[in-house]
Amino acid sequence: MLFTRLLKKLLPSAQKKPSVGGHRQKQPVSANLDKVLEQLKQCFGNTSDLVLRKVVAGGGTKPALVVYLDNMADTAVLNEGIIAKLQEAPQELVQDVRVLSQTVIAVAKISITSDFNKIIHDISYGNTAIFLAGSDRAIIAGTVGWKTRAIERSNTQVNIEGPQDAFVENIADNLTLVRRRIRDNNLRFENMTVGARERARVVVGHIEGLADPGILAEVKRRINTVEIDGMFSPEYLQEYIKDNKWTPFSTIMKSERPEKIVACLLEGRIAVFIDNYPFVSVMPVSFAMSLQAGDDYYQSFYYGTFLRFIRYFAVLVTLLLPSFYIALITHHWEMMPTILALSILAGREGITFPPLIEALAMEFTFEILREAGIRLPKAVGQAVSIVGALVIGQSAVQAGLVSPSIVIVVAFTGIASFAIPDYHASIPMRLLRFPLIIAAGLLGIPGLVGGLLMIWGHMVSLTSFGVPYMTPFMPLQVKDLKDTIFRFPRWAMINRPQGVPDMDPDRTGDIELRPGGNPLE
Amino acid sequence: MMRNFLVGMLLISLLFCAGCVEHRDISDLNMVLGAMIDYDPELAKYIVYVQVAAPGAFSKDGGTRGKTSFMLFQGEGKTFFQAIRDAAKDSGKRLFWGHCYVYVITERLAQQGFFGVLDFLCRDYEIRETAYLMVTDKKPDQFVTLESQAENVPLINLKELLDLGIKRHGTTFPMKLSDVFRDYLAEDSNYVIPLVGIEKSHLKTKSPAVTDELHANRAVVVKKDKMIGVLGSEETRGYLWIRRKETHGIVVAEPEGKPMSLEEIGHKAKITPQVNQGEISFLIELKSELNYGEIDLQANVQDEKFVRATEEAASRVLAQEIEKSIQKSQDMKADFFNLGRELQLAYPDTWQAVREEWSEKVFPDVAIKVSVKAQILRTGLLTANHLGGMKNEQGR
Repeated sequence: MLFTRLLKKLLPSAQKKPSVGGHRQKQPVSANLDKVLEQLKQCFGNTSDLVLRKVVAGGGTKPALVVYLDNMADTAVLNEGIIAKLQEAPQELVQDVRVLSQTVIAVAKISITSDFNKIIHDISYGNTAIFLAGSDRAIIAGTVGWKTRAIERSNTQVNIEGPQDAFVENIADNLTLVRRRIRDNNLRFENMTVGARERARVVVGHIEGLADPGILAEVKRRINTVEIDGMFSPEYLQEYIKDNKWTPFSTIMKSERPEKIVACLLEGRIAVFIDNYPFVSVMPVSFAMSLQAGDDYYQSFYYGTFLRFIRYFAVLVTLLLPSFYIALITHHWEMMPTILALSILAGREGITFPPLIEALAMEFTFEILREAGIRLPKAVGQAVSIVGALVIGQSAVQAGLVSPSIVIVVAFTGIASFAIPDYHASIPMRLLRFPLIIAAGLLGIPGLVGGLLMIWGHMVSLTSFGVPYMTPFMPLQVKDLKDTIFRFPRWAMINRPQGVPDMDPDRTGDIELRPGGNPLE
Repeated sequence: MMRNFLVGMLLISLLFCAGCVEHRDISDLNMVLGAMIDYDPELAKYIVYVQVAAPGAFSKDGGTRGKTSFMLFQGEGKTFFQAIRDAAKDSGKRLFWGHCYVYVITERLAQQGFFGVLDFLCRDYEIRETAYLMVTDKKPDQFVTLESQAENVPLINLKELLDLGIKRHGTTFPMKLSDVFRDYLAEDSNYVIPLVGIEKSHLKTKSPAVTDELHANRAVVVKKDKMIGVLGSEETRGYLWIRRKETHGIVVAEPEGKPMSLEEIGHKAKITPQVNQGEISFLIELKSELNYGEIDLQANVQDEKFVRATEEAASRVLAQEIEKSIQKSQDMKADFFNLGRELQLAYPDTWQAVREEWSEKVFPDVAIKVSVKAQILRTGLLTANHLGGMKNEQGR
C-alpha cells in the first residue's frame, strides 16, 4: 500500500549503525605529567574552559596536575579542599595516590582510576582529576558544583494548598526532594546514562518491595535501548519507550510536583528522573491519573469528588461540545429545545459560512491565540488577550462573520480544556476535537458516535508498560473506582490500586511503623 | 493492514446508511411553529396555514413582539401532504416540522373526518408525535392572523394554554398526536380532543394592550375520525375528573347558599362495571381532595359540622358535572369515558355479546351511578373565619 511504503521511507531503517562510543577501549594513564598534559589536550582540543593547574606538593618535591572544567567544578571546594591541601601536604604523604586521597584531599566523594577514558568522562561531568607525577593512577574528586536555579513554586501545575516546591533542572536537588519525603531505606535510585554525547544522567526511582520487579526491569531495558546523541526531554524518552509509539495519548505521565511523584512511588509506580529537566516521568500510568490533581487530596473529599465531576465533564466538553453543536445545527434540528433552536437560528441569520467551516475556523483561531499567548513575552501578553477578546469575541459577531453561538461554544470548549489538570492529558483531547468536528459536520450524530467509537477503541487498546491505560474503567476494577470519578476519604483507600501490579497491596501494614521522628532531633 | 483498512471503510460507509446525511445549515430552514389545517368540502381541497418564526423575532435585541413577528404561509392540495408541499413553495426555505407542537384542525375538517391528516402526522418521521392536536370552531382567517401578547408566534401559545389549563382551571387538556392515534385505534373508538377558540376582551377600549386572545376551555367529541359534538366547560371538567386525575381547578360549592371556592388537590376515580342477570350497569366512584380557597360565610372551618356540609355540597357539584358529562356521552351515543373498556376487562364474555352494538344501542341506555366523596384536606392560612371582624372569631 502506498501509505505504508511512504511510511517505510520516512522512518529510519532498523539496521544498526556503529555506535558512537565504540572506540572506548581502556587507555592507560601515563606516569609522566607532560605526557598526560599532551593526552588531555588531544582529548579536549583547545577548549577554553579546561583548566590545567600545576601544583607542587610535598614541600616542593612532588609536582601534581589538577584538571577540571571551569565553572563545572565548585571553586571553593577546589581551592580549600584540593589545591591548598596539596600545597601544604608533607612529603611522606604525597608519594602514593591512595595515601594522598585518604589523608590530604578533603573532598567527600573520591575515587582512584587508571582508565584514562573514565577520567575524561568524569572531568566532563564537573569532577576534578588529580595526576601525581610518577603515578599511573589518578584521583578523581567529586567537585561537581555549578550554578543552579533555586527550588521555586510550580508554574505549570499550580495547587491552592499543599506543598509549593517544584522540581528544578538539577537532578540531585530533584532526588533530594523525593528522598526527604520518603524516609524509607527501600527507596532506590538507580543511575543510568542516556545519550551518546549528552550522557544525560537518568535515574530510575522505585521503592523496593512495592514496585513490580518485572516492570522495573522492563523500564530499565527500554531505557537502555535508546540510542541518540542527546536526551533532553522526558518526551524524547517517552517517544522511545512507550508501548504504542503512535498514540497521541501520553502513556507516561510527567509531573513537576514532588509530592505527586511521591504518591506515585508509594503506589508501586516507577519514576524516571532526567538530568537538566524539571519534570519527572512516571510509569505505568492510567488515563484516570491525568484527571487527579493534588488539590483533590488537600481538601475535603466532598469537594474533591465535586472537582472530579467537573474535570470529567470538562474532558467531555473539550472533546465533544463543538462537534455536538455542529451535529445539532447541521443535521438534528429537532433535538434542540424549540426556543434554543430559534435563537440559534436568529443568531445565524445572514452568516456567510456554513457551520462546519465556521467552527473549524473559530477553533483554529482559538488555538492560534493560545499559542501566541504562550510564546509572547509577558509585557506584550496583554495585547493578545485584548485583541483576541475584542476582535474574535465581539467584532466578528457584529460584522456577521460568525454567529454568537459558535463563539460561546468555542470559548467554553477552550476554558474546559484548561480545567484538565495535566497539561499533557489535555493535548490529545484538543487534537481529536478536529476530526470529530469534521465527522459531525458531514454525518451528524452517527458520524460523531463513529468517531468516538474509534477513539474509545484506541484508548482501551493502549497499555502503559503492560498496564491497560483505561484501567480501572476498562477493564473494570471496582475497587479502584474509589479514586477516579469519586475521591473517597483517605481511610477508605488503604489499598494500593489494583490496576498497577505491585508487591504489596496493603498500604498500612507493609513496614514497621517507627515511633516517629528523626532520632537525632 | 489492507483488510483492516477495507473493514474500516465498510464501517464508515455504514454511517451513510443511517439516513442522516441530509446536511443543511440550520439557517436554511423555516421553523414551523404552528399549523392550522382546513378542508373546503366544495372544492374538495385541504388548505394548510403554517406559522413560521420571522428571522430575528427570537434574537435578544430583535424581539418585535407586537409587530409581525411571524410569517404565515399557506398551501392547498387534494391531500394534506400535497398542501404542505404547496406551502413550502411560498416559503423559499425548507419548512422544518420538527419543532411544530401545535396542530389545529378546523371544525369542518373535523366533521368531515381527519384521518388523512392524522395518518400523515403519525407517518412522517419529521413530525413529533408529542405535538398537540386540537380543534377550533373559528374560521382560519380569524384564527391564524390573530396576534398574541404572550408569544411571538401565536400558535405556540396554544401548547401552553393546554398544558397550563389542566393544571389551573381543568376545563381543557393536552392531547398528543400519539394519544389521538391510540384512541383512534381503540376497538370502540370514541374520544375527546380539546377545542380552542378566540376570546373577546371584556374591555371596550382601543388600547393595543387589550386584544382578542386565543382561548382553550372546551372539547369536541370524536367518533373514529369524525367530530360529532361539543362538550361545554363543565362537561369537559366532569370528563377530566374521571379520566385525567391531574386537574387542579376550582370547584364552587354553595353549602349555605353562598358561593365558596374549593381548590382541587387530587382525584381518585374508580369505575366498576356490574352485570346483573344480563343487565349492565356502572358505578363510578370519585374521591376528591379539596382545599378551602375562599369563604365568604360566617363559618368556622374547624367545626367538623361545617366541613361535612362543605364536603357534601362539593360532592353534589362534582357529581352534577360528571352526570352532565355522562348524560351528554349517552345522548351522543359516544362512550368517550371508555366504560366499554372497563366492561371488557371485568366481564369479557358480556363484552363479546355487546361489542358490536355497544356505543349505538347498549351504552346509551345503561344505568350509570355516580358516587362522589369529597374530602376537605386543608383550610389555607386562615384557620378561623374573620367575616365581620375579630368579635365573630369563634374558634378560640
